[in-house]
Amino acid sequence: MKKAIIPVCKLLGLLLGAAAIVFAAVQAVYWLNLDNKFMFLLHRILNKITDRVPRDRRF
Amino acid sequence: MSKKTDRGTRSRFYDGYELARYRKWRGFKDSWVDFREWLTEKKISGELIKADPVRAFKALTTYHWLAPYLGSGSMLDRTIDDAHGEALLIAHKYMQFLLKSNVDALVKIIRADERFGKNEYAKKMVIFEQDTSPILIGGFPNLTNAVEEPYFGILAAANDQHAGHYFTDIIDSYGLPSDSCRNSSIVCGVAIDDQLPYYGACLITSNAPCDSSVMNSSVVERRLKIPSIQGCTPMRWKDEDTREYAVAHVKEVIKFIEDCTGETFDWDAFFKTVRQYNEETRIQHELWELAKSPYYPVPSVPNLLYRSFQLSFSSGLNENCAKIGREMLAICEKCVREKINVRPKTRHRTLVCGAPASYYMHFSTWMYECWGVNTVAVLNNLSHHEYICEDDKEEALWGVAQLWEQAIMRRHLVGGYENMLELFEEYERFNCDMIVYYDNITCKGSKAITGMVQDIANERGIPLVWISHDLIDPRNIPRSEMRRQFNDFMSTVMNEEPLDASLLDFDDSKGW
Repeated sequence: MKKAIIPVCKLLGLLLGAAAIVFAAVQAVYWLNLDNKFMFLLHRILNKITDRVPRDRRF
Repeated sequence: MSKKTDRGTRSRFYDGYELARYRKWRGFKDSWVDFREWLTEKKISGELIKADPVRAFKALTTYHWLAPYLGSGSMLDRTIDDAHGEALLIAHKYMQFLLKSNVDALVKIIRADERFGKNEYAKKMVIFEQDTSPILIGGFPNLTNAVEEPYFGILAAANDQHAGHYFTDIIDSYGLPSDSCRNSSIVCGVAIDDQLPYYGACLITSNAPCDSSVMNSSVVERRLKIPSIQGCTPMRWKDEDTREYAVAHVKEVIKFIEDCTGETFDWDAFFKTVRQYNEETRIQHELWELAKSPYYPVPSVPNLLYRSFQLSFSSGLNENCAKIGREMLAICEKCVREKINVRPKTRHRTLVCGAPASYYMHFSTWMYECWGVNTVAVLNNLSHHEYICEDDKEEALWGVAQLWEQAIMRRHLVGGYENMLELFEEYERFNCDMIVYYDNITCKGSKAITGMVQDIANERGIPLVWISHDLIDPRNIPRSEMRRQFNDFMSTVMNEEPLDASLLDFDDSKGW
């Protein structure tokens, strides 16, 4: 029984540790506004791409 | 009046941009609520890509008008910046509903767009122009409504103030009048530049909100080449003599959709939609009653956008609209009953008239944060608010005609001067002490009445400020100029000092 508990605890510890890292990463994205900063750069890149698309302005 | 002083509230933002270095600390409880709702909003935004990543990528790299929606997260932050406590939760829930509606609508458009390949959806969609209510689609259960024009201009500019430049310049170079309403000229620019998505069984054009829409319809029809009909309803809608024409026209539109799609109008399904619409309207009436109270918690921008969406994008078709409305009503009732004040900076209650500048959708948020002016009622929102008959076909069609006649930006901007002057009744009804009138410099419809409105306001001693703007293009009247107009009014007419001097004058011209 005792031998079974230790690996389970280790696994739980790993899972909790991973969850804490993910939570901290998500908090960093939120507080540092990284999502909007990334979108801002992506928007600028997309504008340069869409400027180069050939358009048919004939009616 | 002081100029730029210490950075204060603006220290959180990059110079020249509305992009924040870091998020706002709102206290433990509110910050947790904000973080939790932010996660929900990210999940909703991700659905735009998740539905069809390949098509979404193609659409983002093809259409200029689509990329601004990458700024929706920042736009959300701007619109709810002034919210705390229950107001914060309400603002988030309202904006999540709008975000979900937007994402769903854009996914429908991208999925159906035959520019990226033939598909089964394109011919099942009926396009409704501008802000025409799609309520008739309730009677065609096998079809879907598509509303696209607001996404090209008004909503794109709300996310990115510079979204409209490209299309405005195109219509200028094409020789079309450059002083026409930006709402319509942007759509013309999209059509001329071949950036309209290719889909749709048919197109219902309209004269909503005004004749400028008729101008852009003719350009859109030339590009789209799908069957179209003018779903134009009388402007002088208070005139009883126009009723017969209006109802006949709605019947014509129904027959047109039947002919184009091979579907038959299902009255049972339509009345189900009408009942849903009436439920949305009932909830709105109750919210308006609560808005008379000083404890009404709904922040201004979500208030404005929710109602616009309810009329122009839902109209009974989106069950979430009434669901969100009921949840928000419960919170508002609690705040009013228990006298919970979540708008403590309020020094003035204002009625806002006219169409707000899309490129400065969060102007009301700034008014509150800088000067303590709380927007409690928006005249645009007080558009069609009558119930539609739920059992008689002729009366129901008359209700639809009225809904189209009194759509967003129609009831108080067109149709005779009596409609426009109703703003003074609404001013009294919502216990306001000032009026902010957005003066769209390209809106000819309301220009004729400005003198009369000012004269009546002077007679009655009502402080009224005109905020000029160019609706979608900030190059003529940028955000800073709009702030300057309001600052001058508040300091010289209202004799107020700003709550936060760092918000008086700052540069936000470059970014979103």
